[in-house]
Amino acid sequence: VSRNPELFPIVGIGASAGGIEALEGFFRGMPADPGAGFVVVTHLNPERESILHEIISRYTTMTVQVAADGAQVGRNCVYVLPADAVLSIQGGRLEIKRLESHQRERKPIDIFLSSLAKDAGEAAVSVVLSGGDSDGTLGTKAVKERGGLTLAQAHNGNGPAHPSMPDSAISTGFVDFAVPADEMGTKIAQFAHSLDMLEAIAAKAGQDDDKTAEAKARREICAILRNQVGHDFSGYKPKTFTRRVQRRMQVLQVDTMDAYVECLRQEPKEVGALFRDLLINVTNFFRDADAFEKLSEVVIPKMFEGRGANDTVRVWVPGCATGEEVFSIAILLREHMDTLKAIPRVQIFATDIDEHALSVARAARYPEALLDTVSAERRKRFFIPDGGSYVLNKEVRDLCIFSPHSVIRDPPFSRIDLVSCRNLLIYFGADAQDQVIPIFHYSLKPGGYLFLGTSENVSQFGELFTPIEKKHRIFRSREDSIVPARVPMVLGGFRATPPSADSGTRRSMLSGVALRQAVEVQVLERFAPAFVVANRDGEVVYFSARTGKYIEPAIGVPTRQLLTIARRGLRLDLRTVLREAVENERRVVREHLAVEGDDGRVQLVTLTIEPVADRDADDPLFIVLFTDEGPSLSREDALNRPQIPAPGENELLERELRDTRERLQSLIEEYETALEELKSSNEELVSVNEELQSTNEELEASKEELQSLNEELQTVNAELNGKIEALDRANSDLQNLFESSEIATVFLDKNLVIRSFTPAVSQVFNVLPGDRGRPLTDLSSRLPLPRLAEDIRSVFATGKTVEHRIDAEGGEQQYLVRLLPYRDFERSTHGVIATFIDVTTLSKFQAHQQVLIAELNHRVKNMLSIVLAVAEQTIKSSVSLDAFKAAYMPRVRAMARSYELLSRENWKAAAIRDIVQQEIEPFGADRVLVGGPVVLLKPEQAMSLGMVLHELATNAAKYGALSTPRGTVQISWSFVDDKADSILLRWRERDGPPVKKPKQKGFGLKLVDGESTHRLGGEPTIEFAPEGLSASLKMKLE
Amino acid sequence: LNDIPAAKPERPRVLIVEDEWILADALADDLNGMGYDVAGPASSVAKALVLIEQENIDIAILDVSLGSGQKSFPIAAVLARRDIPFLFITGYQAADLIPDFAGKIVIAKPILLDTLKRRLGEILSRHPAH
Repeated sequence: VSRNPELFPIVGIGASAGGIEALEGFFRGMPADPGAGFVVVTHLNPERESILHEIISRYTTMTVQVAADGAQVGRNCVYVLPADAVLSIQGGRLEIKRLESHQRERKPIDIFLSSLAKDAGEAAVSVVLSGGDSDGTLGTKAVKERGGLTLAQAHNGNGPAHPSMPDSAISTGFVDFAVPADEMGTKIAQFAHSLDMLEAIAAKAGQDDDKTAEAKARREICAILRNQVGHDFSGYKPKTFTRRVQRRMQVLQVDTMDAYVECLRQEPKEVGALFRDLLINVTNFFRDADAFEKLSEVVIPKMFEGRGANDTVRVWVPGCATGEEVFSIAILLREHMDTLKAIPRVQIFATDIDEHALSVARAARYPEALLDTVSAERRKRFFIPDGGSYVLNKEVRDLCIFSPHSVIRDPPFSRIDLVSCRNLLIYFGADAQDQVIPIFHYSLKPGGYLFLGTSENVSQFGELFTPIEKKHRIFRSREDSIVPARVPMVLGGFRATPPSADSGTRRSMLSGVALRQAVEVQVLERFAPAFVVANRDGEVVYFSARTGKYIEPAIGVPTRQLLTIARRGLRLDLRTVLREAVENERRVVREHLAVEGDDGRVQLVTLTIEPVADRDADDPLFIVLFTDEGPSLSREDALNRPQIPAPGENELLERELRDTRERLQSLIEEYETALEELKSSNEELVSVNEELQSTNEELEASKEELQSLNEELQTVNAELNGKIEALDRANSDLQNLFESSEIATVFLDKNLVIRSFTPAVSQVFNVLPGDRGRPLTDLSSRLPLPRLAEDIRSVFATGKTVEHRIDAEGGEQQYLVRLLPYRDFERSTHGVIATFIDVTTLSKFQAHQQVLIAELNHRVKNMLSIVLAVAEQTIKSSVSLDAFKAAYMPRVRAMARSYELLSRENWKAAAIRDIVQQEIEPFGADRVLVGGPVVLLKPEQAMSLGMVLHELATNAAKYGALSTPRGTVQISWSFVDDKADSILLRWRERDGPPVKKPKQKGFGLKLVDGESTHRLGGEPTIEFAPEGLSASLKMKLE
Repeated sequence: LNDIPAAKPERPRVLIVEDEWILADALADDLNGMGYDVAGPASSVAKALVLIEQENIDIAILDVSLGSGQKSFPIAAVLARRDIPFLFITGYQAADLIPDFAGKIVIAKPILLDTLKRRLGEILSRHPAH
């Protein structure tokens, strides 16, 4: 099936306390490509940045982002409600409403889900995860109502941690899947898939309605429903119908329509479930507006008719669920009350067996999307907007009393003017319905009203209710109806018809019974003596026909007390006989009782009281039979009748008896007065009780608020715990950094008080760990820091870093002191960070480097000067450029060699032998004899000696021993007078050409002379002996 | 030394203190050419002090560094005491090496003859010969 890119489910996920674990499970269990968009709405404190999206993105490969206003919800994307906002959806785009800081949306989940239901319709999916309170319940209803899929987290090993939220949603009966969080993903993926299939099915169904298998199955399902629940759905739109069926198929994990039809045939329960799904009739405000219109036009004015300010109008809404129906009625009543001068007290008893739903109703808070059916006028008049929700005002809310109550199990309310029970009966089986409708009749005052849902009816109890508005299911309790024996089921399930399991056979039996009943009733009415059935206290539970002769209504509040309503003359004996019958549990008969009728005639009556057979001993009933003895007599006849025996004695006795009777009568009257008083006390107690109930409700509401607050606190606490852990880690990192840092660092606040410091600070200040909190200026410093306080002030003033070096220990140590501003999040200076870095070594190196550079400069410049000078002098003594080149280049090279030698020795010293060797090498080392002790020369001297030797060797090569192949040179040196401070070096040439003293001294010899005298420390002697030149020069060693 | 030409009596006498013979020799030649008599050159503090005692010096040119770590400042101190003008030549950065003689004229090596000539002229015009 190709996917329609437009149509994919949007899943609204609501979670509160314990939601993080649930969300983890939810996203862990999600298949890789669920084909749906996800919106996560949580119930968190708006003043806090939430990191929820980061948490979720750990568990899913889908894109997780914080919802942005106007964002188009995409397939396989997750959006998270941002803090401090209310989220809704419109046309597939998220809408974010920022809340004012003082506002607080308490039900963001419901707001989103209800808008999602409206926007996405059948493609909406609601998921209610762990959380307290009843959030999500209204949202789930809304989604279900629009045909969406609803899920809620069910218990398993992994939670929910706070089950109240999902439980509340589940208990409404609108949840399709109650499954653990990690199984939801599969369901949603299936749903996304089936959504596409549905489109296809629906499209096909539209084309050829009768031919497809779906259509056939649909007709079969309709037939089953018609047979079993008596409701015809064949008029439903095929698409809607198929979807609802499809939904049930998904829930049951059934693949084909045929299989589902089979399932329907075998499981009557499933028929009921499908019926309810088809009838999804989520109560909403003024649902079925016409019906409510009629209610307010026809019924409500009647209810208030003739009621004064001291009277009470009582309304009972059984099965009130989340309260929309209750408040709709309350609004109608309030509107009518506004038109009245004397306003009676109004009580609306709203009951439900589901405590969760009640708590939603008590809160009286509804998302805006659920108020579509409420007119703007009513919204303004009766609702207070609060965040994205609307809360009913006190005026309406105070009319309603919510309490848990079961229509079937608990005793009904009584003296009710209106029972509104819409869409509850559809959840009941036929038996339960047969029980409940008489109960409503019993509860209602005669002439009270019954308001049912559109698909409900009073069925066979037409004798109890007259329809007022048949179309809108408004009925009136028949005042003239015979109170059926079913009513006092409170008394122990006294029923005329035995309960039967099968409705089919029941119906035929009923007709047999009915026939018998009809005959018996006729016989009873026509031929049997009048009778009543009373319990042991004399409360009448049943009257036969024609009891008026023996019974008349008593003054005051209507009562069923037989002893009160029996006619005079019967009361005394009735009491005695009844007591006797009760005590002995047998029949007691009293004859010849005179009963005075309204016409003044006296009827003699035989009174028979007999226990009803087959009653349990705890609650026996008694038939009280009144049998007339002959025709009625006139008063005289009656008086005369017993006067047959002896006159005197009898008269006396008679009088005495009359006196006694009168005394008894007055006693009885006193007793009755006392009883009245008791009754009024009782009523007072009832009203006190009601007050207590409403107080209780208020307490309940406070408790709920506390609970939700508590939950929030828990969530916040969990988040805080996480942050504290992160903080601990950061702190520990910082601590380790501090300890590993060798840089002395002190954190100071505005008053120069130490906040913290690294251990290295102890090298600078005499500081102990306990000195945190002391001003830095209190501590003695090992460094001279005269300007510290001033510098810190300047950092505060300018916000700029101050940096300078200081010498310590008399210049032995150097520190770099750096003062930086300590900035907080707002970038304002809150303190100073002082660092002290020991830069002694660095300084030394820097100084040394400076010296080296200067030395280098000096050497280079000196050298250049020398090279220039040599050039200059050589030029003076050169006759041609060639001569200059021949003299100059070797000189410079000789200097370069000396430099190289000294560089090798690091400019410390050079051995004489090495200097000699390198200077004679260019002229052939084999012709030069070298000898002398190891002597080291200083660099300056080494340089000079190098120059001198060069000039001598050059001279020898040009004119002396080295100019011929046989000539040799002997170079030797020795300590003068064996003293270590002076050396004599000799140069002697042999076997060269004959030597003549030159006429003029060249620059070479001048240099030999000059260098020797000037720096080597001795006058040289140069002899131009004929056998060869010889020179000797002294050097001073230092 | 023998090869310095005989000086006329009115020629100013310049003491050269320079440890490098080649430089000293070249400088002496130049100074002779500029019309000065040369005393020295001296290669060390001790030799220079002897020359100051023995000869009538009008002006001195001192190389700051005399090798083996020796500096010419003691000579400068003696000259200053005797009110004999002098100037320094050096291969070092001029400014930061002469703490006691800040403000004295320093000529960087290698020396430009024109500069030397001008400087000597300036100093001598301020200090008339004894």
